Formats: sequence, structure tokens, C-alpha cells
Amino acid sequence: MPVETATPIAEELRSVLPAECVLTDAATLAKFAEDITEVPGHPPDVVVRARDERDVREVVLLANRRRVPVVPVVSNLNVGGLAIPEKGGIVIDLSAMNRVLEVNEADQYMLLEPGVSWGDVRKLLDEKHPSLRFAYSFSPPHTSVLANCLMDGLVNLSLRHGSTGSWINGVEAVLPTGEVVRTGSGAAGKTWCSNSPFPDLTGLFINFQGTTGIVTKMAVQLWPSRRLRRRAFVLGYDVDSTFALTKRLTRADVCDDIGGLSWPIAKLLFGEPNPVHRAAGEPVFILYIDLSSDSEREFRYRLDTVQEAIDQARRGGAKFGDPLDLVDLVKIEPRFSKFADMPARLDFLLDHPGGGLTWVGTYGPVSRWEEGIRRGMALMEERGYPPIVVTRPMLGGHFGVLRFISLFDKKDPASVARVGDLNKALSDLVIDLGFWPYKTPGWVLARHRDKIDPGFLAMLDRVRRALDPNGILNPGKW
Amino acid sequence: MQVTLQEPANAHLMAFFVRSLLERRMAVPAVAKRAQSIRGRFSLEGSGMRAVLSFSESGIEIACGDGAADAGVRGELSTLLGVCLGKGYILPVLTGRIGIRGNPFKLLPLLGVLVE
Repeated sequence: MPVETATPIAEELRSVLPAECVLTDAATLAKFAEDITEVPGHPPDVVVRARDERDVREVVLLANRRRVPVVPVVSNLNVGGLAIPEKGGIVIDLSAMNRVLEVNEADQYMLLEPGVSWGDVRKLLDEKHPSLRFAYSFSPPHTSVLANCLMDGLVNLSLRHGSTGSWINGVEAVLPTGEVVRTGSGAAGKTWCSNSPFPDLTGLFINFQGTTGIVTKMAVQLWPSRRLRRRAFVLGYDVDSTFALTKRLTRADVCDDIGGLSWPIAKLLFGEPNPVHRAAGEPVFILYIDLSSDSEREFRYRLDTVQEAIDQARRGGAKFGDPLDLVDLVKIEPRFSKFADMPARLDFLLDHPGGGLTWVGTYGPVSRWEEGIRRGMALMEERGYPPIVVTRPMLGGHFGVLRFISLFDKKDPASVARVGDLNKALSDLVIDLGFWPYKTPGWVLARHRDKIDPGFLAMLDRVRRALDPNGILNPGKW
Repeated sequence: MQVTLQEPANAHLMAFFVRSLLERRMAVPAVAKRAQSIRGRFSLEGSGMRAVLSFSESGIEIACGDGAADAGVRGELSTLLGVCLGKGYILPVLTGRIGIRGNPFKLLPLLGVLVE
């Protein structure tokens, strides 16, 4: 039998919602108390399993009246402590709201509820709408598409189309005071095809980390699927030439995605638990390059352009391996399928004995990638961590991802403290170079608040107070 | 037939690939039987990473680095993996994309183990 902890707010919630939707047993509260990162956990007082936007509205109205914090959660694999209810209160679990309400093939968008996962979308499009594709993050397949988009995440078409916040055509949201609003063309009621030409109120929910409203529906863009696709890996032997090639390929505009993976990642994939030594002759970075097309001729052009860029770099003295086709790599080592068929669960990062996974993941200027990578990798190596780095040019190279990933033992306080110190040092380094952590954790804001324009912070505060006068939604975040 | 990678913590990427390949190949009884009859040390050098495969009664040991070998092959990692996947080796050898060191006839039994 679950251990019940009766709270007044739970009793009030049970007066407006079915009892089975209001959970206070210790096991459920513990499940929502922490995430995989080093951020300290804190349990909610109650968890509500919302069935629809009416339930969300009931919860918000009650919480606002009682001034109780509300934290929206979907897959419970939140990161950087963003969905940890650090002041207790109500966690509203949106995972049961998992319908795809519309796929509009002609206007290339889909309308989703919060609980729709990457895996759901992939299955639906593959089976029923093969002419369209979405893009996928390296998040596990069960995690939420809507949450990623609201957090402005990165996916494997972000080189072409930018971070996922810019893919949103509009939302339906429950405001902290209980009003239900629609943004984008959905506000006019006929279609969800575009966020333009409406004033961008959708932006009030992007990157706000659930502090301005609880989004219950989101329209997001889809793209034409392509008949021919290839993912190849190119081995790069020094940082400068690898990122010169990345930038050259970015500007050539022939790739869907160009990801950079530092050398320890492949070794982790092969099961090496703590790869801190780079062997003689080993590449420093592995670039994965995605290409797609409907036409054989165009596809060949794209392949040739990649090869020409590599050959030109070699003529300039850089060392690169020839592209390795991912299909071949999977035949040699089936674990490479993690990179072949997204969404995929990167178990080599998630399922290690210590269980802790954290990162300083940033967006910033590609002009400063090389310095950030070199100094960040050195910092990690000095402290005994495998220098795990992931990069990706975004939106045609207008900005880029620079992400340092660390594994740690979540059960060992010393390990938690050590990785926390590492992340702080990495954040100091990259913020000084002009990068800023996406899905910005609270500890980053606390540490680097003085680097943000005071006018920006004041305006942010005014906007939030206008929407959430009692400060009930996900307090302590942005 | 046991496949062992020496010092995996210090091994390079190609050595991991070779280990995976050999482990899968040794799961095929006919290939494992072929491997049992091979003796000697063979070097593989792909995209700047060198490994030496030592065949003995006790199994196959993979070591990274400059160890001595009876014979060996050298080329782009992509070309070597292509050969292992049965895409053919004659053309890469004739066009110089794969270089051979030592006695090529000593390499022939190795092909029967590595190539699918």
C-alpha cells in the first residue's frame, strides 16, 4: 500500500478532480523529486495526473487562489533541475495528455498535446504520413516533443531550421490566473499553419521554463521527407581543421545536420566506461554528416560537395579520414544503430552504474567554437573527466551548439560536488566566450545573473508578474 | 575463440572496431575454426591508428601501437572496413588504397577470418 501523506492542498484538489488523479503516496512524490543531474532534489506535496486542459485549469485556479507552486512535468526526465519542485507544491503530470490532434499534410504542421513523445511522432509519421518528416533530438524516445520545443532544443534538422522554439506555429496555454489563450494563427481559430503575422505572443512561452503558463496544445512545423538519406562519419585529427571543415560544409548548404562528437563518445559506445586517454593516432573529433534528397542527381551533388570539401582541406595540410557510412558501421558494431535510427535511447550515457548525467550545453558564436572546445576539453581532462563534447551548427551556421557532458555517481556526494564544480568552471569559461546555456539551469542564473543586462531582467520580471502575479508557476526558474 | 583487447582504457577507436568485428566473426563456427588454425602477428593500420592482431592457441589478442608483425595492411579505415564487409579487396590493393607490408601470402588466411 502506498504511504499517504495528507496535505490540505491535496484534499482541496480531490474536491475538484477525481481522487485517482491526485497522488500523495511517497513513491510517486519521490519519482518527481529529482532528475539525472547534480541539482539537489525536492519532492512536491502532491502530484496531479491531468487528463485534459480542464484539469490543468482546475489545478491552476486552485493553486493561484491558495498561492501554491505548480510545476508542469511530462516525461520526468527533466534536466538541470528545471522541473524539480524546489519549493514543493503541486507537480502537474501532463503525460496522459498524449494525443496528436491534427496532422495537416498540406500546410505541413501537427497539433500536439504535451504527452506526445518523439517515438509517438516517428511512428505516426512513418505509418500514416510518410511524405512528411519531423526531426529528433538525442533525448530518449519517450520524452516530450512539446517540452523540447518550448525549451528551444536542438534536433537533427536544426542546421536547416534552427532551434525548435522557432518551429512553433502557436500554442494553447492555461495562464497562471486560469485564462486559456491561443497564440499564432490558432488565435484566429481556422488553422495552426503559422505564427506570423500575429504579434509573437507564442514567444511568451518559449524558454520561459513553464513560468508563464502551462501549454496544453502546440502546433509545430513538419518538413517534407526525403527518399534518399545518408549519415556518414568523418574522422578529424585536430580541432581547428575539423571546425574549419564544419563551417565550410555549413556554408555549402548541402547537409541536413553536421554534428561534432569528441573522441570519448565512440569509446563509451563501445562500452569503455571511463575513456580519459586518447590513444596515439586517434581522431580528436568525429563529424557525423546527414544528407538527404529526393533526386539521385542532387544527392550525388551533395555527396561530391562533402568529398570536395574534405579533399580541399587535405590539400591544405589537414588530416581527415574518408567518410564512413553509418550503414557499414552498424554492420561492424550494431551499437552504432543508436546514431542511425532516431529517436534513440543513448544507453551508454544513461545506463551507467553511477546513474548521473549532466552537461553544460550552450548556444553561441561558431567563431569561438575552437577556443571553447580546446579550453573546455583541457578543463575536463585536468579534473579527470573524459572530455565529452558535442557540437552542432544551427540555422545555417548563425549560431552553434557547444556542449560538455559528464557522467557521475549520483549516489556519491563527493562525485556530485565534483561534477557541480566542473560545470561551474565550464559555465564560467563558455559564458565568457559569448555562449549561453540553453534550458538554462537555475544554478547558472544564480551564478551569472550579473552578466545579463539589468533592463532585460527587469522587463522579464514585469512580463512574468503581469502573467503570474502570485508567482505560482515553476518558481525559482528564469 | 577468445578475442581480447589489450588495455581497452588506452586503446584507439580502430581497435574497438576490430574487436567488435572479430567477436561477431568468431560467433560463426566455421570462421572460428579457420581462426584456430592461424598463428602469427598481423598489423592493421587504418587512418593513422595501428593495431597488431596476435593469433595463438588461446585466442586472438588485439594490441594498439608499434608492435612487430609478420605482415600487415594499411589504408583508410573506411576502405579497410569495406574490405571486411565483403566489398572486395583486389581493386583497393591494385589502386594503392590498401598497402601491404610483408609477405602477402601470410595475409590470405586472415582474409578468411576478417572478410564477410
